[in-house]
Amino acid sequence: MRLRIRHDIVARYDEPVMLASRSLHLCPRTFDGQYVRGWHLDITGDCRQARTSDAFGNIVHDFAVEGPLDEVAIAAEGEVEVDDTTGVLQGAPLDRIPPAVFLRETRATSRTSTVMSFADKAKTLSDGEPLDLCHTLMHLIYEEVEALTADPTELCGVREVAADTVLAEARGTPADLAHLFIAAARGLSLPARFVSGYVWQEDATATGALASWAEALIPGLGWVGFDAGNDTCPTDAYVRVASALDQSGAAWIRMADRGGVSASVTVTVAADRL
Amino acid sequence: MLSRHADSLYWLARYVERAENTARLIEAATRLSATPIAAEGGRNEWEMAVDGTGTLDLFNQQYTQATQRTVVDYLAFSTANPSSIRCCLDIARANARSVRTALTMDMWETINSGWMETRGVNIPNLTRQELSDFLSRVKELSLRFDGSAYRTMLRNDAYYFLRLGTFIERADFTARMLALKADVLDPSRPSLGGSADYFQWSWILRSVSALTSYHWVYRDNLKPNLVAEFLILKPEMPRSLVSCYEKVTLNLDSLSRDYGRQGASQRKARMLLSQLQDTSLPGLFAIGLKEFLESFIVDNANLGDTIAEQYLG
Repeated sequence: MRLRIRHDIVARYDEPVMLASRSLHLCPRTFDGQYVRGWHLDITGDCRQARTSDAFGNIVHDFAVEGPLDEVAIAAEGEVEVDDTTGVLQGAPLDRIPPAVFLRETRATSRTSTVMSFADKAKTLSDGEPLDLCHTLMHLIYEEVEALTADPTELCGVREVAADTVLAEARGTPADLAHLFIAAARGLSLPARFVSGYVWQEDATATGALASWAEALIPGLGWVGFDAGNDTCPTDAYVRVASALDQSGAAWIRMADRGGVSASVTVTVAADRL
Repeated sequence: MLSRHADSLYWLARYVERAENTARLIEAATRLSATPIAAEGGRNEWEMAVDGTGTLDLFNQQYTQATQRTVVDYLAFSTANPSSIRCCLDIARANARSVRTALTMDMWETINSGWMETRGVNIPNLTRQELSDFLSRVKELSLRFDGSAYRTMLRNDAYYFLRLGTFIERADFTARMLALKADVLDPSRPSLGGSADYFQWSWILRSVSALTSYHWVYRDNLKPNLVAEFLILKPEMPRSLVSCYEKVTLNLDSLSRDYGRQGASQRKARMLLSQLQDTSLPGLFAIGLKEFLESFIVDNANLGDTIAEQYLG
């Protein structure tokens, strides 16, 4: 599927900001199954964009603009062609670190007793094979946890709601659901990671095209994606952008300002099928 | 577009590119033969040049010894070598004629006049100067052809097929030149000492016209690992493998966009591109440079076959 994506993050200030620095995970990569035909970032103000890649192989853009500025607008736009690989990340191009790292516990993916008993429940329901286990886990989360829309904290920053809170409240944002999946999968000794990206939907809201899902390392297959919020493995409507241990490592944007009184941050995303 | 036309355009570009590459190879070998290390070692630079084109067996069937005279004859003029410059230009012109209407006036003029000029060369009595003039003319033909395509051609499938041919051939040549010298590029290998290494490394860069741009990028002496990085992983170097594959993938993508469907060649090209983009220099030497390059040459040839199957059959 060929998609044109436009992602805007606009921060407005009541009192002008003197220095605004940003770190962005807004740039998808080409790999087997996904081809980024063109992608560019537009930023208000003159600044130098430093493009690097982090330990997980994600593309990171860092920049700082000097003010005074009433507004800092970032627009990422581009065209991506995606193949349907039934969620399997073929060729595993982004693996720079050993899989065991993805068994680590983080604040958002802590393995409490409730998370572990949830994971065990999935295990008893499945046939015990890793692939079926992950599918069962995904179904279970989909059935037991209500999927909310993305929260402002994960659209323009970091969301760190612990997995057992998500379970206790039985509802969560896409990032929360992914964290729960990751915590449970890691509890069952399956390396798992968080993935951010875009998804094309027929009737998306202003931020509905932003997607978060989880990937688990299945022996013999490699990394396989699981989107618990939609109870599906990523299809050719999913554009994969960044992956990390949890959402804090793959956040779309991290910001720090000097001066300025922040008024609002508006995020809009449009994914159009070409 | 008829697949026959697509095929002619693709091979037209490949043969023009190959003629240019062979001309650069002969120039680089001529230069290396004038350096003090030429006499050392069992393998002379002329035999190596032939090996770089991957046709050493064919050469050995026709000649007993690899000297400047025999190799220049074989690489530039021999009608028994299907990849000699003369044959390349003959085939390129034949292909150009069969798709005359898909080419612009400038492109046809370039190919036709270049072909006629190079036909007039009197082979047996070629002086050093005349040979050098001949090679310059071949390079110029390729540059003019490339430039006139870039400037005058409509951006449609004809253009994309032409570009595909150019970049597949270019990637093949760069990989072959590196594979030829993979052993001297391994940083763990004991140095030959003196200036010998320098001549070897500069030979590789010269054979793909990259010596000056190397210094622009690195501002450093020639270092074997940097030479490898420059010609494999640097996207800003237009003859590097990753740069060629960016263009191959882009042109294949344009085809799939215009035709509204994609296939095996798009997938294969993207996979190779992402592999190249994800490779790091230490990773390259961990696999082994020679092994990496040899498998790349095979993959690149496979992609060529896949393109032929999908579009040119």
